[in-house]
Amino acid sequence: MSWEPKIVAFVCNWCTYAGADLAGVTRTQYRPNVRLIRVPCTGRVDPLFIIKAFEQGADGVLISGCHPGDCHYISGNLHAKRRWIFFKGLTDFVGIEPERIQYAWVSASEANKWAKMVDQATETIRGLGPFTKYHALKGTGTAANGGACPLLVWSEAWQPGIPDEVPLPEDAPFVPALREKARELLEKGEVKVVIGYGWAKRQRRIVPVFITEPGDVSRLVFNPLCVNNLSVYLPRKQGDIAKLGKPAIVAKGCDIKTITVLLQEEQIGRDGIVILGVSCSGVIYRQELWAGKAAPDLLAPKCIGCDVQTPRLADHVVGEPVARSVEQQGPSEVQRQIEALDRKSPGERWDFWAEHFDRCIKCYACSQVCPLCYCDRCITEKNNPQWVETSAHPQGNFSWNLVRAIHLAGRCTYCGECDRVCPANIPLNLINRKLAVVSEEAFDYRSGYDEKAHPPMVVYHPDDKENFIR
Amino acid sequence: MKLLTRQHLDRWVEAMLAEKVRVVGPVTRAGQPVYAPVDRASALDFSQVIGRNSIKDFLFPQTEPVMLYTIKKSSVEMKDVGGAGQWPDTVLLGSRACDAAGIAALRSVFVWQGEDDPLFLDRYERTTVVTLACARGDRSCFCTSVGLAPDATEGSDLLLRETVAGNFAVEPVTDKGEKLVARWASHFEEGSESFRPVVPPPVIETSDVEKILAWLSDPSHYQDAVWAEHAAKCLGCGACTYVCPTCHCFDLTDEGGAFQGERRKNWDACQFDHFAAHASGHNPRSLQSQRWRNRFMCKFHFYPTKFSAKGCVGCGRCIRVCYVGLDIAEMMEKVSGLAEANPRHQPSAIS
Repeated sequence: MSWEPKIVAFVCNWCTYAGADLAGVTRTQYRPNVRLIRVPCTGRVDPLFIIKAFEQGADGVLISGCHPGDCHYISGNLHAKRRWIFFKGLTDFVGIEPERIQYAWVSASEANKWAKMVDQATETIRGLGPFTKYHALKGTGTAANGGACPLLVWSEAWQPGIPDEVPLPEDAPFVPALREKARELLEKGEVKVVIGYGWAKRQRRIVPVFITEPGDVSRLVFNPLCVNNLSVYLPRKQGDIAKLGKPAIVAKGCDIKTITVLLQEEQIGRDGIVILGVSCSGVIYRQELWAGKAAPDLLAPKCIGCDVQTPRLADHVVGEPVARSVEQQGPSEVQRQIEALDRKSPGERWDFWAEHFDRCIKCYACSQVCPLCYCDRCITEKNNPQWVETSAHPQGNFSWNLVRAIHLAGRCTYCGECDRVCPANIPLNLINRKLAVVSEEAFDYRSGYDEKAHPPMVVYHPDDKENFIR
Repeated sequence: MKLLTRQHLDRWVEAMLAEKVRVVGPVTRAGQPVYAPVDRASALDFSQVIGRNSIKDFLFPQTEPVMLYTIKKSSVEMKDVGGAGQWPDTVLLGSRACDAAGIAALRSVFVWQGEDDPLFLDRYERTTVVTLACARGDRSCFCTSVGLAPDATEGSDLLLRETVAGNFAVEPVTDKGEKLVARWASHFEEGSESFRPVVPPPVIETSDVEKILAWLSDPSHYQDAVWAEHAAKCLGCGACTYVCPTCHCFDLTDEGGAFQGERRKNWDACQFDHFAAHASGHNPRSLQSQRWRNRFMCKFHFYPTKFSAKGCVGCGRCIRVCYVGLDIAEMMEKVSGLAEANPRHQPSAIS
């Protein structure tokens, strides 16, 4: 038996399903390769459905609904359009051939368009062949081969902390002022805890500290090793911290970008926190590499071209406004890598990501360290049905990384924490940055700059531009 | 004593590979030390301190199918996978003493009171652990603080020590080790060379596993403030458990379509927030500090009392991978100090 493409079509109840029905009633002939799944509205189509279809053996996915303006729920399809713009940016970037996922508007009267589209999609996907690249990932890979280890490639230094012979960085000049402010807030009872940076007890490294007693404020420090984005401790999910009471948080300008999104998404109230903004002239990406000074090549990728060195939105700012220490010279390394990937063929991009995702050990450090991954129950934990395969075989890894990325689309502030902590060194910065570029290009939106703005995924505009929906 | 010379080591490895024995050892990939199967002797690099992955990967893989199922009209067909004969004979060559002790700990869990895990047991029986005593540790090593040493033999079948001349002195620990030497006898020779001095990691004087066990055995300490104080910063990723040689929790999950698929055994971690959640929705460990308490208690209370084994082998990997700098040795000191202040509690049989 020769191979026939399997195509899963998600169609909206009101337009495309009726269009397909009309095609049936009028005896319009078209390829039988398509399996229809009726959904109330294209707005209901979670990118996860598409990933799931591929996991289950689909060779292509077709999504179709009412034309813009015709939505029976007024704007469901326009929201869907925004989601697709992001999702297409992502799937193209990881190397899924664009023809495998097709988007269309088909009204209830367009039986012919529907038939023609199915025929065309079937033939295009037939031309591409079975989507074995994805299906074959299951049961392959190092982790899946019973006993062969996933290739773990941790950060360059396998040592926490700074070697004894390397001098520790000096505190920023404003540290006394920071401590004084913290003491004042605690003494007055304005806050119950100050979330900040301090030295670890046994190791020479900076760790998050939680100061509850005014007498302990001397533990607070700030220096170029203070890379953690502490705003991860703010959402309700961090019950231990929430129990302590109202927090003050020591935040760099970039951390405040994340706080901005948490405010936008109403995960925290502006009155519920005190922001102690610190001026920052760059932090070391991986503390272990500290060699006495904050050399530009050791700085976190987000520090290159940073425009929030003097924090905004803070209740109190300590430190003088700093001039940009690192002027961006041309595109950054991350941008260069993204551009290089964009120039490659989908197949090459796929191979690039397949190789990286193969190492994923599903520790979920990327989502746990992400201040914006605050769901009480992550989609990976929903197992009836199992939405995202938890196995660390490459297929499960691929699905997980797609889901993680799309959930952050238009929200991620590029703090780089997921990339920094990934024990398998998967270049998550590339994906996050890529989606930020999509957000900027399609919606002229940069996340983390305006707490009053609506994030792109929660609003729509009738004039949203795209060039891939048929 | 038996000696394995440098040249013979390479030849031995090549001979094993030629006989289809899977040889796993320390290699360098992308500049990183890892344990991985090798296809040639020259890939092995014994100079590294410790692999980034735990050697448990080769006895208890992160994901493995346990069963295939097909749902028919009126029946469900199930087919075993794995089991005897599927795994190649394996030699873990150049394991560290801590990792070997971790294997002993895993065995105590997976082969427990007649409740054997056939997948583990089959691999275990086909695996010979050849430990190479460490010449040096690093800042995160603390095996000497949990009753082990760079040349401890717990869990090893064969112990190699470097000699001054650059060869390896061979000390069989178990029958399996003896058999391995006997099978490849031509590669080992008699001789006598003095060992190269080893530098064990410094003992953390203020930590004492006995005192920790005593303190943890007192149920009133379950809600102690120390847990939140120490572990509030934990973000609940599972990285520490995934690199830990003794963490053994797994989850069974069905993957596949509506009518057929496979049941897989995947690593799970007590650090995940829904690990202990009940079907009712109640979560007995709803706070991260409680989940971290569970990990600490598992290492220093559950393992010794329930499985009579070391739960923490001092490899230091959890310290190395933690991105918020949670340090289990710091907690060992802290709890030892608390026990010191409160010495009346004795280890109880509660487990």
